Amino acid sequence: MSDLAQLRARIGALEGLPGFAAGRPAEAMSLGAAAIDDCLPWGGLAAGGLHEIRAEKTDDAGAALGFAAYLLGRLAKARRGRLMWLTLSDHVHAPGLAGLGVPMERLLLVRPARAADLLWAAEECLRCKGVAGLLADIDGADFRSARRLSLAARGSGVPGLLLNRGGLLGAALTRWQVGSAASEAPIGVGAWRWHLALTRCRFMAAGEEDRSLQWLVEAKHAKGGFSLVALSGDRSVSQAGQRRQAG
Amino acid sequence: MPYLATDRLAKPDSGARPDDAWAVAEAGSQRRLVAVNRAAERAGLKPGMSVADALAIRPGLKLAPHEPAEEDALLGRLAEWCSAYTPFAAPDLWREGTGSAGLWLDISGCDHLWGGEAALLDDLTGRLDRLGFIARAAVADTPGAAWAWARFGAGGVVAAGDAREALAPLPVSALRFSPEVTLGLARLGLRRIGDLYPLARGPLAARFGSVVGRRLDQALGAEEEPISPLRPPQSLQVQRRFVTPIGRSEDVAAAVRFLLPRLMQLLERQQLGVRRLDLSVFRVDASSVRLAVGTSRPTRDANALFRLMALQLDKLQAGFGIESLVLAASVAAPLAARQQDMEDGEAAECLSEMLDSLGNRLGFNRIQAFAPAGSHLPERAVRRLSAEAAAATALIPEPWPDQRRPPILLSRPESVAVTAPLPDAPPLLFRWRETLHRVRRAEGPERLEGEWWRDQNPARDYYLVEDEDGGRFWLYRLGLPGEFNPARWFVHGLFA
Repeated sequence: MSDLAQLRARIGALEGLPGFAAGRPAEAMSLGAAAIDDCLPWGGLAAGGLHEIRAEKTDDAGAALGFAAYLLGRLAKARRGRLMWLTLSDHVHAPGLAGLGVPMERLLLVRPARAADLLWAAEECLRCKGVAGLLADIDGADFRSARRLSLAARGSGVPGLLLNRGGLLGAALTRWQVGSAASEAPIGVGAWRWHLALTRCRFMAAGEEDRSLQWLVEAKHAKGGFSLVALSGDRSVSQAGQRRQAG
Repeated sequence: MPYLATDRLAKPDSGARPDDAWAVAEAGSQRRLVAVNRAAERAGLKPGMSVADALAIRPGLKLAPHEPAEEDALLGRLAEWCSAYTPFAAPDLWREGTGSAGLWLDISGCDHLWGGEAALLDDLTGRLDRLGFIARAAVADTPGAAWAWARFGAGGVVAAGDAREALAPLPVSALRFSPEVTLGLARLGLRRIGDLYPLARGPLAARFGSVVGRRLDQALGAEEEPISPLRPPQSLQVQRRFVTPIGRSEDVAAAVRFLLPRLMQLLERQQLGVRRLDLSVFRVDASSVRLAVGTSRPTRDANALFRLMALQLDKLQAGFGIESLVLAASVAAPLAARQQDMEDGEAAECLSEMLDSLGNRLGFNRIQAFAPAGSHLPERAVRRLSAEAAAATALIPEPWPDQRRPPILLSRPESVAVTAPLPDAPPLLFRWRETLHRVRRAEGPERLEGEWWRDQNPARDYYLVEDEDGGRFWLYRLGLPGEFNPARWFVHGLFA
């Protein structure tokens, strides 16, 4: 282990962050695309933390929700228990979620009447070890609430996906920005394609902290279920960083 | 309760003096008194008198409008309160003959708790009197006999088997006949209940219908007349009565803590678990409230139930004080002792606790699961299952349609302006929510129709279209190609 990695692990352990506590290996869920998993310090999406998913533009609400649903399906594969979906709106369409790989027989949809109730319910879900994964459709959260959610997730090891339309959440381990991309097919509309950008990730290697990783991904039905294929990765920013080191 | 209509208004706490004369009058062109209180009665006022006459006889008479619905609601509340005496309590809204409604209480098997029937009656009338309600009460073998004895007899207890003799001198209207029947009987010279005893039933039935015989049988016990209680009685219930009424929420919480393990013992004996727990709170001012908590699966965990109930106790208003609490498992389901592997059991336990806590704060109807429904129309393609159905066990996976469906379905399809080259082609351009979308790729049409036996709505041709930026939409054209001119297009969903 390099000095840097050791130092990172020590700081992580002091902070009690997922994956660094007492040398225990992180419980992480593969995103289904090795190119993306390799870029994450946990080798996948870490359990016991919050992951923020945002739409690139308001028009991309469908894409962001689609990616979030896809991740929830991945969590379901890796973990036992129920899937919880918390939302204030009533436009979630079950057949569409099933098509994105969400096992609907394990999903419970909770529709509180108020945003404050939703945050409270999200915390209750994150505390519960019987939950495989939580997806909460929120419009921002104040610092305190976000911190509470993060602590609840850390305590139980339940991963929380926050589909966020509001202000950025500092408490999240990762932040994903999703935009829809044109599909490819000889005829008709092809498989779903998204522009995916990892705009925040705790414990990226030093110097990579402010780096933004981008991919063009396609959601595919393949052997062993629904998965992502990273068609291209944009590493231009990271290359710029290397040049700076060299110079 | 002969003076209910006026007692309701002249409650002692409203500052009314007992010797004020009160009357309740019907609204309308010809205003007549409907009910009067004792003071007014002593002054010579009677129901049926016109308001002008009444005011002439007793100047200073206080008048109030007749509100039967309010009275009925009050009776309902009093009946609730009387369920502290017996689970079989119900309001009696039969006003013919006396003009006043009352309460039914089936005290079979309850009187010994109060030291006999007479003591129970004393306690009941005493309490009502302190609340400002004048009540005449009677106990008899049958509800019919008690009704007659309270209103037309001396009141009090009619000993078992004495009803026939006791009722004989009472007027026939004491048998709850309509005025026409009473009048008809009077024309035949039948004024006393005793007059009816020797008569043959056949001719009576021919003249007045079966009602005469039936009421007589009900009064004398030859026919059963059950009192339908407000709520079915609970065998799974425990009660605590307080010598000194309590008011602090800590005391109520302590009492609930005391009662819960006792209820759990009752349930354990029958291998049942609580699905719904009701706490009935009886206050000294003859009002009662009920708090309820539900659970997603049967449980006998007193601590978990207490936590759920505690959320509601904060909202409880003690009023002038609480004199008794009844804790009942109003819905129970079999719960056998189960063995599970530890880890799984813990997760399931915590999941059901979490769902209970969500359900009790947000409402159980706000937790749903989904299953496919056999309809082609997108808005009917999903069955919503209740939390209870979904939470008990994991559902069996059911196949969803193979066709691509959007994860977001607008609750109401939104009309869009469209440029389409041909009636049966997908659009080239469409304007939705102020934005122009240029269609680059399209797939379809997929024709979806409602079930023919359910509606005659036009069919819809759905297209999956992708715009230049990769935004994917579910559009449909209403009707067959060319059915509407210009064609009507809608956005119904957003794809991932």
